[in-house]
Amino acid sequence: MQRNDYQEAFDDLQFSDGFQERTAALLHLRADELEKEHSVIMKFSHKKIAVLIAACVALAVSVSAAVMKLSPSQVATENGHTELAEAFESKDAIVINETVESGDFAITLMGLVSGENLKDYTNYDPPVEGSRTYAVLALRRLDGTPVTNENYDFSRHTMTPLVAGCSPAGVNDWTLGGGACGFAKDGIYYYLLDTQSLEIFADHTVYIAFYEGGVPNNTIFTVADDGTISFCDDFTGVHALFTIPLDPAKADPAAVDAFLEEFNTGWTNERTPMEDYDVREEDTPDGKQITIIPSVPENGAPYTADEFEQDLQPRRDAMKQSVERGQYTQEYYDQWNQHQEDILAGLRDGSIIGLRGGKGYDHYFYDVAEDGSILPDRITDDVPVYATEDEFIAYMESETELMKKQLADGTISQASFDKSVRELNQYLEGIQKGRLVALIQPDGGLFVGSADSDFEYRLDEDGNTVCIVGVK
Amino acid sequence: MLSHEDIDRVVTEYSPMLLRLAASRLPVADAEDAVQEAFLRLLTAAPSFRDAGHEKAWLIRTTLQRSCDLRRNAERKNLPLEDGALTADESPNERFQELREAVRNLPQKYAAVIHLYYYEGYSIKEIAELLGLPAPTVGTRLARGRDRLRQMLKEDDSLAAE
Repeated sequence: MQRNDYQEAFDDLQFSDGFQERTAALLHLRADELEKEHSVIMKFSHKKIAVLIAACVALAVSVSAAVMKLSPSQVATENGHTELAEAFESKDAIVINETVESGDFAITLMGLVSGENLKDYTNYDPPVEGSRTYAVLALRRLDGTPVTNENYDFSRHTMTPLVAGCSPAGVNDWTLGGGACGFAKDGIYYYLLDTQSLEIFADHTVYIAFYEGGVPNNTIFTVADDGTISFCDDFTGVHALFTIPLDPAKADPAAVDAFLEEFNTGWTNERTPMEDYDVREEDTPDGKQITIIPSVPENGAPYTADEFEQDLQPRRDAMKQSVERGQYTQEYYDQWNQHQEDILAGLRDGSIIGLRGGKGYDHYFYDVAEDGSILPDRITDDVPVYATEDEFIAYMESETELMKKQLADGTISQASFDKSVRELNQYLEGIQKGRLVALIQPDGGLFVGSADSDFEYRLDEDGNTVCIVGVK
Repeated sequence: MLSHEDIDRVVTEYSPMLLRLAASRLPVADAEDAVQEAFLRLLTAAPSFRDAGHEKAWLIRTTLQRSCDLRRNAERKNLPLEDGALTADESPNERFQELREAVRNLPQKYAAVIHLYYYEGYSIKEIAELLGLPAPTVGTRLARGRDRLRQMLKEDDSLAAE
């Protein structure tokens, strides 16, 4: 296919006559309507504006409360957490019921509560300790179309705390050991966020952000000079940002300092310009491999061994927390850690070169040949990678049998068993619908990721999970 | 708030490009809807742009987003897009139609890169900046998109690299 062919094919398209004129007329009309709405409000006196605004707020609160079929307490009950449900009914709970409209959705932060032992973590080994914050958010479509588990992609959206004055990349779900679960009921999608207690940050402005996307980066958020966080003007995904009222008396500056020392990272609103990369394709004789060879610019931005080692420790700590929560096995952590050590050793002895990925994305590592040239990553297309539906079902059955034994001998609680079974079924549903992929490791570990991710994972010959960074 | 003059400017300047971008994902009628909605969002969201490039990038990403939403909505309602692919407004040129259908059948992430590269003539770096992606990711999507197109169009020769 030549470029000319492609251009001719799309130049050949015939759009309706007068499209531009009709579109401009439509926009003029809408602009005039918006102008009128603005001027009507401005005609009221200040006192009347206050009354009007108060009435609108009250109406919005009552409307949003009426539309939501479940309360935060009921959302917790749906997830099997009795203590948390009671906490949402207590005087410690904070009712918010603030709604933001974005894209096709109305996003309502319903409320939050903080406390200890509100979810059954006591049978984790070691048990999760300390106070945690829980928040409930609801999502509904503006046109009234029901949101269902089938038509809404949970994996594409993020609900995360953020803290003014702190890097969004450093203080968020991932570093706060948080996560959200979601479910649809009666046409509304509910999120339950579970994170390390946010009360220690109570002398800062604390946000709950909801958006279409993943880890916070500067294509999603911008940080003002005073530390205020907001969404980028050119961020077009569904999004909402709520500030949450916390009691400043509960702030713990020492704990915040300790947290930031461990997790805070730098932040820049500048999107680093990148040198251009030429990409060459090479079909191997057997036709089964495609080699993608990004050209490395002569003066690329290096990622040094010292920088890698400095960034490695917080990543190690985050991984350890994941092991403690039971998300990964110790064996998986050991394999991952050894891989990082190998990269570090390669960076130090020059057998590996590291380059910055830019824009908050992962960095790239390439093997270096004896003559100093950079060896390309080789990606194969025909390697079976992810578990098939049948393989995942078999995995589910074996894991469920194992958990039944653990339940019988008291190793895990009924709530933990139920939660794990629920998660496995959610994963299976995601795999069946093509939203998720699963990689089953030889040691029984499970990796589940979005089918739409830019990152691919493989099991190498030794059964180790190998992440192919940044390319797919 | 955009003035009437600004409205006329953006519609005149960007409609041809955005319509063809949307048409890489949708039939013509739906593509027109997606572009109109992108312009409406520009009006209501009223973002601040650093420069014309920033404005163009915003419109491209919004149009792609809206095109994806319309496509997903149609799929959820079991409306086969291919039934609407050839309308009275589209040329019956079979070769061009085949190519357009192949592009529309690509996953969104490949189709966007393919169109911006082949039709708009953007470099990989420029596409990366437009879409907010690392350049190597764009390169990979371009390569894989070309490969899938090649398979769909059943060409024997390699795609010309430019």
